[in-house]
Amino acid sequence: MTESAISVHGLWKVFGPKAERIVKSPDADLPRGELEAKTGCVVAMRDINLEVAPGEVFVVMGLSGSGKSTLVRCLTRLIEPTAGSVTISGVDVTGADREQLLQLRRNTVSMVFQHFGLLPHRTLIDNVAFGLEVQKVDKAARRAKAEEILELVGLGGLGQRKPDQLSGGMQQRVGLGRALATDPEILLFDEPFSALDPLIRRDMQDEVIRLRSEVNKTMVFITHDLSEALRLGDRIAIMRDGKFVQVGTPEEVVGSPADDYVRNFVRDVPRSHVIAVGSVMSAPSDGDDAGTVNSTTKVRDVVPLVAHSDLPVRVVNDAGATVGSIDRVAVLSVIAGEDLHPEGSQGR
Amino acid sequence: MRNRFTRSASVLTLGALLVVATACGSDTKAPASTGSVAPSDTSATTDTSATTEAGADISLAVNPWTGAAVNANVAKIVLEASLSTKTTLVDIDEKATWPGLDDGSLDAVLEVWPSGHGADFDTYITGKKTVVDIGKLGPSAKIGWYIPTSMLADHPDLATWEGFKDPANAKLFATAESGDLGQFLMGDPSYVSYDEQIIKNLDLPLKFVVAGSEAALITAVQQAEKDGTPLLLQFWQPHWLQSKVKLTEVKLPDVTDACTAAATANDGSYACDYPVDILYKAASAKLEAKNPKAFAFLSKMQLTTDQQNEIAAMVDSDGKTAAEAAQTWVDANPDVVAEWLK
Amino acid sequence: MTATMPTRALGETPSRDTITSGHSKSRTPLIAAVVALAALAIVGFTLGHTAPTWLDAHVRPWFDSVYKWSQLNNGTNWAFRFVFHPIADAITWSNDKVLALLRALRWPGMLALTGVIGLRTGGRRAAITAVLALAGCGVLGFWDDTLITVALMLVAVGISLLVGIPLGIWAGLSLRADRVMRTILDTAQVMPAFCYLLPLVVAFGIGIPPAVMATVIYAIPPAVRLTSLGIRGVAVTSTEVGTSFGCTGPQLLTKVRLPLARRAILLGINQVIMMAFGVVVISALVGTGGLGQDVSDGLAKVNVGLAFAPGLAIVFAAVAIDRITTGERPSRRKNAIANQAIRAVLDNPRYVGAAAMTAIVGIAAVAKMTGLDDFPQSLRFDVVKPVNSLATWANDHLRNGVPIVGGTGSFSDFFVTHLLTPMRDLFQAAAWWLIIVVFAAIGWVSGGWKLATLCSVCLVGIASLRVWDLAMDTLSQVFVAVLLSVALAIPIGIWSGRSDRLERLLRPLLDAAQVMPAFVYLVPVIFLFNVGRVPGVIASVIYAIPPGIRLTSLGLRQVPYAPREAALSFGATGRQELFKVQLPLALRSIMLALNQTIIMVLSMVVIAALIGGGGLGLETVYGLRKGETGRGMAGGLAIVLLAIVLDRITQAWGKRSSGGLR
Repeated sequence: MTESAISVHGLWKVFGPKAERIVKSPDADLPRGELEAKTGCVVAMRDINLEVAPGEVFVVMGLSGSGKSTLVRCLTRLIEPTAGSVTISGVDVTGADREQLLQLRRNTVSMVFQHFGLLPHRTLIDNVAFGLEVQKVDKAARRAKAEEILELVGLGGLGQRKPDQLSGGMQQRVGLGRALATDPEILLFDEPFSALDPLIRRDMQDEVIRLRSEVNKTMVFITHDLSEALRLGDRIAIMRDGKFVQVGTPEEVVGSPADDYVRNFVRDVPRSHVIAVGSVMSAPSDGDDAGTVNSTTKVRDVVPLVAHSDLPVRVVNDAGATVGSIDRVAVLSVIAGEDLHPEGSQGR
Repeated sequence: MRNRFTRSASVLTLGALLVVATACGSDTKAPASTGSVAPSDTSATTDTSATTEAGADISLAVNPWTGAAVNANVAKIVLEASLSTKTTLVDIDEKATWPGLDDGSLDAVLEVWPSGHGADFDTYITGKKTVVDIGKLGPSAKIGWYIPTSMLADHPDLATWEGFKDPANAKLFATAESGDLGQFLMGDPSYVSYDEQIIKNLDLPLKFVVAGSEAALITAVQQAEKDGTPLLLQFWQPHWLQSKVKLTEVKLPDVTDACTAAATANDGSYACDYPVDILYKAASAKLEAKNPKAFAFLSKMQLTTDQQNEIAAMVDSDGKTAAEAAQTWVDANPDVVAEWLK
Repeated sequence: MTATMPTRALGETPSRDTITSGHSKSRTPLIAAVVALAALAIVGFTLGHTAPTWLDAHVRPWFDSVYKWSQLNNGTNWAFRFVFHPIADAITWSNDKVLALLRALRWPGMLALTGVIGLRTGGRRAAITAVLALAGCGVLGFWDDTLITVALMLVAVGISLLVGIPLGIWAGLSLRADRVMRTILDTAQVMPAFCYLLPLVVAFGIGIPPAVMATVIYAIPPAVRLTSLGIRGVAVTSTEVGTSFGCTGPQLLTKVRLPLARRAILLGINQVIMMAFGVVVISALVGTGGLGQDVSDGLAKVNVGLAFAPGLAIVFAAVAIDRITTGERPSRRKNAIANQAIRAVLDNPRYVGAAAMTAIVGIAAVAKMTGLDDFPQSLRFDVVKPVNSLATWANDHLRNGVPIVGGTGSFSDFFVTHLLTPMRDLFQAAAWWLIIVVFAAIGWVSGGWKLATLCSVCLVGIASLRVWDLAMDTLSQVFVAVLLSVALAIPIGIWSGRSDRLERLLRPLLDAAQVMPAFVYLVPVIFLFNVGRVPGVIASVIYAIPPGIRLTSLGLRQVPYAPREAALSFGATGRQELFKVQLPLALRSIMLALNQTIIMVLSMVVIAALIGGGGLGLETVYGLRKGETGRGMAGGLAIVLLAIVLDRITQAWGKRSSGGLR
């Protein structure tokens, strides 16, 4: 059992005068407007608990005002939480002194920002090297590292440009590079791609997926885009009014929404794109099969196999051992459970 | 390596610039060493045929009127030519002159109008004793009420104050600012003014209006002269304007002991003419020790009203600079100068 | 009627009855209010006109005794010997060095230096303008006096920045510091130099030090304000980036906040310089010489041309410095030079800087050897005579006998009799407390009870300074001057906001009107408008309209194109576009223009007093001219309090107009 990379317990953030009084009080359950009228306070985040395993991509999804940006900022105390505890890589962040906090921010955690947050007065190379500069790494070393990182994010040779000479997508590559330059264990993404065009957004998502396989970092990813959440997340937390409504794998969220709010959200998602064969397969069948698929394969990817054959498809695990089978009826029932006009689908 | 080289290169050039600066600074003819006080007129060149031992440098205050510039330039010529004392002239406001004398950054002022500096006299001359009275300059000055001389042709009764009792006469002087009353114009607020008391106590149908500055007052006079309009104002002798515009002093009631007492008591009952101002010179108390010869000379130096007017006319009418005018006069009057140096 | 419906309580059925009863309900308090106001007015105009004697803060005697004490103890007290005098010595020393350097460069070196700085900061155009302007000072025959003035400016600006930028950073980081400093800065900017000049002389001696200190007091506010504004304006995202990467406070400041606030700080530096030029003439009163002295000399001789020529030199010097301190450096074009090594040299600012500096030293050295000490006589041009003949012409032709309007003289008389005097009489006839009540009411309507309290406190403060009647006199003049300024500035500003050609044409004129010392045009203004309150008002208007025009024009130009395009697409005429889109959207800027106009007019109160304006300005003139410091201070503080009241009220209007927009 490895230790969690990030561990959060009972985390609250209340904005307003005498905020700590609101925590866990009956007032906290009042509707937003009433609470504000009564106490002048707004609860941005209430009683958040979460554990992120090393190497996991944990996505927090919610609409604007749901408290997700507050949550990610409380992790490194860019915003001071009102109550609760945060532990990152064994360091008690909420109890950390100034020096510990600086070390954490410099070495352990990096953040990618919604509007890129590039410093317009610096060249790309100096932007990427910013975190190293803050750590007082000497100039030659940080330049070399930054060149390397720019190469990694596909901007090699553009180091002397200024941010305003780049497109949004390229700017966010720089933002990503800057976060990677300090070689942190944990990356925090605050809606990093929401300001980008859909096509570029997709490219960037691919970039994250690639990075993940190459560098294996723990990531907390904030987004308001469900398809992005489903694409990137190992686990997804749906946030509403400062609370987690549901935490689970993409399959769990789409397959068994916790309440109407979540259901409404995932209604347009083609379930066959999300649900893996493993969760709908039946017992292994003997005899011939139409082919073999891994249990993590999405149901829709089995469709070509079952369409051309009446035989079931064999399901195997990562080790290659047969763990079950899936037939045409099972596939059709997954597909039939969904909306017949899937505008929201983004199938490949 | 390259960076270090360029940095040192630019430091070197900057250094060179400074060296050039200081080298040249020392030979500029304006005395940069006394940067706190700027020279008013450096065109008067130093006469190097000095016989006496050089005295410590001194600086003289020049207040903003021609007479003051004339006195100071005459003194400067004599000090530099005959006493080998390098002299800087400092253009400065009257009131700011006194703290300058007090701390010794100014050595002397040659024309003080007593009426405006009673408080300074008390503070510095009789109080702190950091400034000393070094005697009369010579000319005396007088503040009074004036009207354009041309008005007397049609209104001879305006020659004395009684003529202003007549509301019809007073109304000649009415302006938009004074409404139905006649306007009495006062200029620079720094001059002593009993005008409001005089108007009230003599019961004259006049309204006291402050122009605010000497420049404003003179402009008003020139305007009246040009348009031929009436104007009643507080003005004084000596003043360069007196030679350009014909003004006549209105006769006010004679100065009496009671009147002087009213001025001292400041009880608002003043109702007579202004007393004569006897102009005097003042020096820093440090001057006597610092440059005794200059001190003795400045104490002795005097100009008559005519002499001062003669030099001032060269400036105001002939367009000479004060330095040129002073030089001309000094060259023409060696005996007067010799008397001062005895 | 329908418009009032939504405000009715829910569930209430709107019927004829409720509507009529609503009417009578609203009428009753209206009648009551009218009756109360009438009663108040009757009482207010019959009882107690000036502030009672018990309301006396004894400000005058207090300042007088402090001043007197300083006069007597400035040679012995430790504060003078170990604080003020060393500061004075340091200032004198720096000034001597700067002046020596400027003189050593000789005029060719100075022009070269200006050109190089201009090229570096603003590009070729700025460099050419700056060099020509500076050469203009020499052409007018004031080369050395310009150097004396510029040296003093540089020292004063240096101190202002050295003190102002750190204070600005502090104010940018701490809201409380900002609030405290705002009040002090307002005071520093509006308090007339006339009332603290003599105390400065007593503290620092005569000459450069008090002049520099007076300049610093006046010029420091923009350094603090704009730095604070710049620091505050740094986007939260950027500071968050810094924090998230583990910046310490100082790192955040030097790596993120200051670089991002650079533009604002540069603008602050530029504004500091411009403000500093505004007190050149006053600083000459304490014995600094330079261009200010030349203007004073011209004024003492009541010679328009003699005062105008050095005034023009001040404008030229200001323009030169303005052009090399504003303007972003144009983006460097790619060098066509292929050779890597040469390009590296040309792209390296250090090499270029070293080369330029060597060239300047070389020029200066050559100039020294060839004896180019003073600006060449052959290049001089005399403006005194033409200006004087123009002034004479204006005096001969504009004062009287102009068809229809009658001329400036009769205009002035009309103005005094029908506007200034009745207004002053009205203000002075009303009881002091009535005026306070009225202002409190205006404050309440504009910005709530806080503003109402502030207005009342400030006005009670004026009453306690024992200058109530004078303040009312000044207030009436300020009203008229502001009305006149706004009536001129806003239409011109609108026109200039819609016409690029007019904007270009106006820019040098506005620059000149703002930097040209008011002392220069006092004489012509008196010639045209007679001694009295009108020339004071006119002088204030000349000084106050440039920012009014600029801000109005800017506001109009900043209206985004989208709403205008929308209006045009609906078939709006140019007029409709202006009145229905541009003006409402530019309202905030126009309100700011009004606010600035008021402040400018108030800062001219003293100048107005020098040509017959009287009022509070004359009190501060007494402070300097008669050495009655207490009297001057009381007048100056009253001007400051008046300024705070009018400033905060108009600021509240500005905020409201923006609130309406969003």
